[in-house]
Amino acid sequence: MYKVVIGLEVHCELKTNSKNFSGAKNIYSEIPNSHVSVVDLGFPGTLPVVNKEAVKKALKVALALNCEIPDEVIFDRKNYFYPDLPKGYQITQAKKPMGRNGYLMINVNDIDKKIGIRQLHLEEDTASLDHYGTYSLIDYNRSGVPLIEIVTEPCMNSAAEALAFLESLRSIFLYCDVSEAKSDKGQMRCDVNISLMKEDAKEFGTKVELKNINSFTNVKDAIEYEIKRQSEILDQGGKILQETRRFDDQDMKTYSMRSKVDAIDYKYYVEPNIPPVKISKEYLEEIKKEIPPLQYERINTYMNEYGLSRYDATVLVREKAIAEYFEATIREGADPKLASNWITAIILGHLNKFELSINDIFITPKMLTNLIKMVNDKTISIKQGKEVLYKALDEKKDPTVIVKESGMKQIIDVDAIKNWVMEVLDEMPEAITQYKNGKTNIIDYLVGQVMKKSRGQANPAMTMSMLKEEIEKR
Amino acid sequence: MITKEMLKDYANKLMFDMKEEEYETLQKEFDVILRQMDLIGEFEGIKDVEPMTFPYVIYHAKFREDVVKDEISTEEALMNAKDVKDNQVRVPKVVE
Repeated sequence: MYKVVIGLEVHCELKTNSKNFSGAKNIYSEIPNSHVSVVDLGFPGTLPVVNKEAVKKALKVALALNCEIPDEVIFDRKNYFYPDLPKGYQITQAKKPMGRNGYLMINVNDIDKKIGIRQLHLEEDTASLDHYGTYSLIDYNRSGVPLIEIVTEPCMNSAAEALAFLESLRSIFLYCDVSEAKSDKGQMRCDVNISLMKEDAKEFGTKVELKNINSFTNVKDAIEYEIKRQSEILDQGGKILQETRRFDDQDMKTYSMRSKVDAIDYKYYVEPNIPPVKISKEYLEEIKKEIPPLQYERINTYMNEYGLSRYDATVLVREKAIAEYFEATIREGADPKLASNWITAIILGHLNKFELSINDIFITPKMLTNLIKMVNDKTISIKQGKEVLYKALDEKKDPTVIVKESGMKQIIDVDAIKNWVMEVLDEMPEAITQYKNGKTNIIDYLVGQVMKKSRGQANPAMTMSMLKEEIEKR
Repeated sequence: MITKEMLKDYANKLMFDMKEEEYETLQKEFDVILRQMDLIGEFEGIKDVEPMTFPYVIYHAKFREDVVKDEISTEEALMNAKDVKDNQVRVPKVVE
């Protein structure tokens, strides 16, 4: 067995109106070369001008990732020759990036872990290439789109941890509203550095870099394949080659692209066309105020203050809008557990079924709270409450109105329930015998019979205790 | 020390080639440049001086507001391209 060491490099396209260094529109378009400027095409004599919003969003993520932010940041040129890069260099950051030495908390199998962030920098995306039989076609729409790159410390030890990190990071992009972060649209991309070492070894093994893996599932598959491949080589006494490999999602294997000897020398140097950028403490404070409570923090609040399970809390924070809806319901005075149950089980089911967002539904947190309160004060039963909620969602009607109109209310009249209990027991003497012989779960069946007689309006808890009481007497 | 092999390697990476005597001339010029660099390196306290990238202390004063402008049309964008197909620039295939 070997210890696996994983580090990630994640790229994310920022959501801005215009590109990072030019005024061309930052938008995905089916029509090639429809949103370009002379800067994106690398025409001679053109100069980059930094997009204020891109800097702000990069800093926002750096702050959310608890990074140290220098009071002065610098842009650098990374030089290489490829058709997707018309200038012959990419404007990026090397020596003084937007953020350094941050961290992100993840949770795998109920264990918290701090994942170190080595650095976060702002750069520009390249043009996109499509390859055909004997030629390649270049579309410059993506050229110059603002991109942030986040580099972690080599501190993850399994595919599960890498995946949890990517999920958490994605939630930060969404909560901070800096990107759509859709991996199927290439807005979030990932390179994986992975090495294996003996459990008691002091030094890391030779690392292999897996390039441009385009979905979270592929990250998991690529890591698992690579662990297997490297373990087999080491088991046979072989040596791991330091190289860059690509993952093929057709046959789920990785293939060598280039070895260390062929590594590209990018000849980094300071971008002379962009002077250093001063970042004031006041500006950072201003940005900090815009960062909402993040997933990790909300999960802990939900578990510790509202007594929810980690599973339910995790479902509720998956989307910021849902978390905010849940919190609004709590503020209105709803019981947190009931609110959580009904949102996760009924409302989210409704959203999935009709592909809606929580902001699209008619039921407001206030309406949901009123319904939950009717259940809590026993005006209606839980079962009735659920039915009302389904109906309210389908018919876009206030639950309180539905309860009123249908004359629905829970019967907690002891005498009425007792009558039904007697009737049911009289009709089924064999059930009493079975119960007394130890088949106690038959009680649920009997409760069901009483509910039937009451047309669903008898209070189930009361029914249950009265049934037990009466059976004992017989 | 810059060797002729290093120059050939760089030339290869930058995708050009030269005549043998041109490499020799370039190598001699590099020797002079490197000797000058060594001289600078001997200045007292040089290690405490920040490398200078800009001729004077200057900071980015004004960012661009995030507004769409200065786009050019697809026709204009492709005007200088040697080979165009489906509104895209066509180049020899760059992957195997």
